[in-house]
Amino acid sequence: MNDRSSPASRPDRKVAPDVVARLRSWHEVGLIEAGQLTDILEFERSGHTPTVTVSRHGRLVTIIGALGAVLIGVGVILFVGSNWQGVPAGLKLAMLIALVAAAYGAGWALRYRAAYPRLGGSLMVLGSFAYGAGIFLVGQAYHMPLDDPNLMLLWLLPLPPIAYLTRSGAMLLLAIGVGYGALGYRIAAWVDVGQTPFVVPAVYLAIGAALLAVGYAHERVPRLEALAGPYRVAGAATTTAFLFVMSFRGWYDLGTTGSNTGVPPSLLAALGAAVLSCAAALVTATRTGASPARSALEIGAATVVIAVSALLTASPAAPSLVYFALINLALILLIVWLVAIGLLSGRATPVNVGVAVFAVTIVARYLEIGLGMMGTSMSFLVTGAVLSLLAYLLERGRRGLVSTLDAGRIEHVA
Amino acid sequence: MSRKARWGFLALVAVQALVLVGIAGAAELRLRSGREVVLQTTPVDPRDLFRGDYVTLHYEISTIPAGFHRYEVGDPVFVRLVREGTAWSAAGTSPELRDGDEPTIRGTVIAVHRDAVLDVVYGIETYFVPEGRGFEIETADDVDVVAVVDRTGRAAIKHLIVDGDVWVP
Repeated sequence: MNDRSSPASRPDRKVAPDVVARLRSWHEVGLIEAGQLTDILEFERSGHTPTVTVSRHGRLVTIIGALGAVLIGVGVILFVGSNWQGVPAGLKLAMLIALVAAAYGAGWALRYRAAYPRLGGSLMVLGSFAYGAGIFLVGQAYHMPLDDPNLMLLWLLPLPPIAYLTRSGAMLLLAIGVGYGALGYRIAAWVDVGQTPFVVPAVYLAIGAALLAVGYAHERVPRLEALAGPYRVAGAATTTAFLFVMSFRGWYDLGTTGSNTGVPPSLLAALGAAVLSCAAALVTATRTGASPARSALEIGAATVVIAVSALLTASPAAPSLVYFALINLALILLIVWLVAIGLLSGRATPVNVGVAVFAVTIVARYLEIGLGMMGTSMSFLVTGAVLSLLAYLLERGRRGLVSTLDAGRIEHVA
Repeated sequence: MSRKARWGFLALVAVQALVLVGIAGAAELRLRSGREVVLQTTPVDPRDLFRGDYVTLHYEISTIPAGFHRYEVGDPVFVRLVREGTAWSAAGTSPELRDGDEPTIRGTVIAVHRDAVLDVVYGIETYFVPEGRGFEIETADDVDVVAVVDRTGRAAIKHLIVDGDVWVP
């Protein structure tokens, strides 16, 4: 069994070391014969399994391309900041339009003609950045208030159609980010945020829930599957981030829940959008034959967030402790949901994110409640010990969950 | 990409170019067709990484009596202007645009104090300047803004008068 002259003992440059090591151990415990070991290694050397390498390479190109586009975009915006008063208004406008057209044109050519889809996609995102920067530069040339919500709205409007036409997840994420900015400016223009502090998180929670539901609905439609990820990521990030921020008790002691006198139209619109999105996700799930348990889980998460949002704004007189308890309960439910959805869909990312959010929440609660009850030196000692123990337990739990996923995959393949 | 989608993409890029032209065109039109008014201000000089140097202008008409109408934050307010010497000041407010000989400027209520006094913004509170020159305006004794107001009450800044002279950026 321990045949040292076998191919596994020779240094190998093509096959990853961990694969060789694993094959050797299988051979040593008798799971595979020497002949099978040789065959597998020859097969691996022949380059028949390039999927992982290509995927990593592709991801690297995407990341580098996206970073390049973002850096150029930020550069354009900083250039706007340098305020080039000496250039005539007409020439400024012509330069901006040329930049936008060149970025989109080059992006389109690379993506659809030269078969460089990732680089082309990055250039299209750059075109959208240039368009946004152009809006603000023109606004600056005419001394318009740059926090005008209409300017952000004008930037947002063409982005979703382009994202759908080109099936570009990066463009969709940009659209969601710009949409959040536009919404923030719009809320600030519509309501006195100082007097109704819960409007902002309530609106964003509802929209995050809607994005989640839209993401899961997209997943079931093959044509739109490429856009499901950005919706899901944006929705999960928004809901967990806002629920986490809202989970601190100090928020409610400082906030003036009693001053909420009515539900603003913006929140009604957001809640309406969330409810419609949930309904759409439910209908799509039913039509495409997804399992009822998974559909209920997906839709249930969005519904929890919507209910919390409604409570935040529509129930003005509840004591702060009620809000504190309910938001923390909602956050825990969302974490459980992330882990469950990861296990059900066979994806490790939601599991890892859920565990990380749980860890941060536990630490935050501990710091919030525990530190006030101890002296400084004692609090450092206890914090260190608790964090070490927590890190150990969480990592153990996370590995267990991820290995459950791996086991599920192997079973599925077998 | 299908032929139809390609045309759709081209149309969306063209729309973006048109939006840029439209914003500039609307601002030019307002500057050329509006009625000129001089407004007294108190400038301060902030800087924003993404916006460059600019001065924030607080006008005499930025804080005004509410009159008889009960305004809420976010409501539009139309302020009738009357000439007092070289500058213009607020003569009254209304929730709608009313006809009259005097120019009327449209603002948005951002704060209401005891139902009697309003803080209002008019969209002309920012004036962008070349890098490092905001200080000239901040340290001046007297700064007036020459603005134009169109028939719908929307305003745009034409130029500044700093210590009696037109300020050249």
